[in-house]
Amino acid sequence: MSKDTITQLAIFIENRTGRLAEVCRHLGDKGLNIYGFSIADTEDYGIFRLICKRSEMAHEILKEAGFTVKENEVLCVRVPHKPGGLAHVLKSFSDAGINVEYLYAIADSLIVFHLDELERGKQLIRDQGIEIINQEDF
Amino acid sequence: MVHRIWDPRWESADRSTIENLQVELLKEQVKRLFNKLPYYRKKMQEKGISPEDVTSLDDLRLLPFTEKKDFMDNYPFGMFAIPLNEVVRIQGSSGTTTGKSSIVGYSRNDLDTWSNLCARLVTGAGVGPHDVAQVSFGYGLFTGGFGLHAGLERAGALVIPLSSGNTSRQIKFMIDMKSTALISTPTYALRIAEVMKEESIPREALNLKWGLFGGEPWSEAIRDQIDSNLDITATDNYGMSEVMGPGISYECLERNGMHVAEDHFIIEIIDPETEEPVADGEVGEVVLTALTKEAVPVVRYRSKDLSRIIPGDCPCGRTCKRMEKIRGRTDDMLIIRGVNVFPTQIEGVLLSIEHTQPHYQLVVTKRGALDALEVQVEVTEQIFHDEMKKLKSLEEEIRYRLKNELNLDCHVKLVEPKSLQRFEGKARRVLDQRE
Repeated sequence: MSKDTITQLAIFIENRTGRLAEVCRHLGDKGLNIYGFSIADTEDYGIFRLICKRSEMAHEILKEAGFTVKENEVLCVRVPHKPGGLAHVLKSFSDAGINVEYLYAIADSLIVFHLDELERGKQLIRDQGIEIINQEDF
Repeated sequence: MVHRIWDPRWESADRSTIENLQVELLKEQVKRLFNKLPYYRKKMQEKGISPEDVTSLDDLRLLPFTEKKDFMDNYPFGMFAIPLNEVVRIQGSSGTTTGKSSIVGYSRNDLDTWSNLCARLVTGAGVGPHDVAQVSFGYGLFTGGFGLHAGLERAGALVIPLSSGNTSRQIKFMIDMKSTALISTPTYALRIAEVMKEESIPREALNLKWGLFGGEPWSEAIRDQIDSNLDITATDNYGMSEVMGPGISYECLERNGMHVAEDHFIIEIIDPETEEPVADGEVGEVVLTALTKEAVPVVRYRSKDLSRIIPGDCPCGRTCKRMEKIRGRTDDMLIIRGVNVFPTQIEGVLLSIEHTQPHYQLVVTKRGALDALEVQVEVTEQIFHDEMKKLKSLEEEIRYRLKNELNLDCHVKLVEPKSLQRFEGKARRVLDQRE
């Protein structure tokens, strides 16, 4: 049975030349494909959030390599590819009082949401018949 | 150069007069410690020493050391040899590993002695009744503010107790009051020069002649900078609250070593490892015995400061021994903007947040004239978060708690695990890049 969530890996990265490349190299060496990512950054460091198929293995590899990694369950939604599509999804969350901590697009019209109330958010999207992406769908 | 001496009877006494006095005072002081202070009596008994064994200055070496730890262990009043109703002042020092301050007390006689010693200090530094002295040391438990204040008043100077901070206001007062002497940490003097430059205030606006600097070690290079930036004569002075406060030793205008007030203190220089005295003129740890202190008498206090005795006589006419400017420390204590900081204090704060042994490094740099402390903290899984605002609030919390603990603003920088250098054995927690 699908969980209707996907696993995101968040990695702490210092703002130093080559650190991001290093993360990607470790995963590439082991044949792990990155489907999407986002980066939040400050002057000194960044949070590299990525989605890949075998997240447990990716987690292990990066941990081995000495990175600080955190797993989070996030909601991945195929937002209707039309004007107002994203607005509609966001409005349903806000109407329901669910906070979007952050969001990012990973491919085409796939949007990843980190919600403060994941279960309710999932239900809300399901009820509207909007497609939810699972790890196996990649 | 005109040298003025406040107390020529003692500052210029001949060797035998000083040593005879020291022996008599030492015998009395050891008796007082043995009879009144259980912690020290125990130490003496453990070494099999009784007060009668001390009959000469050489016998000083028989006596057990006193350490900062003793102040911690006997906090708050276990080091006091007189009843509290005879104590008229409490002072203390910052920067202890346990969060407790070293608390010291002063009897009325102690305060009288201390202000007299500080009067010697300010006189040696060139200050007299015609001077307007601006005290930019903090007033509080720190001995710098109240100590120098009392000494300046006794020497007849006009004292402005401005305390620390608000540099623009300090400069305005200096101009308006026509201050001739500045009393502060050496780094603060540089900060004042920096702000004057920023605010385009010409040196001619000041009447400043003398700078009396203490509270932290400073090099000759810093002195040259202060002398030229502020066009003053900068002198060093030395002390610590556990032994008395400022006034233990001080430079005269020759500025070649700090004269030790030997009628009140005995100075030894020891090898910190072997604890044996070093050869004359060699560098070692300064160990001080307070001969006349009543409230908190202290014998053979390990200062952890490194210095040496400068051989020969000083042209100023003082005969007391001179110790060189402090060269460094035997422990990992840092002095940042006059505040004592132990890495273990920072460790304690991080431990309370991370609930696990923290990995961190301290980087001390100069930002302009002032010291800046950067605390680099390795981001472990326990404290890492995928949301930026949570990492930011973590940084903020660390900064806030450090400020509470150290009374010092520091920059907190999150770094990747294992990016900090790992050392075999003793962790090297501190990168001091100030010089």
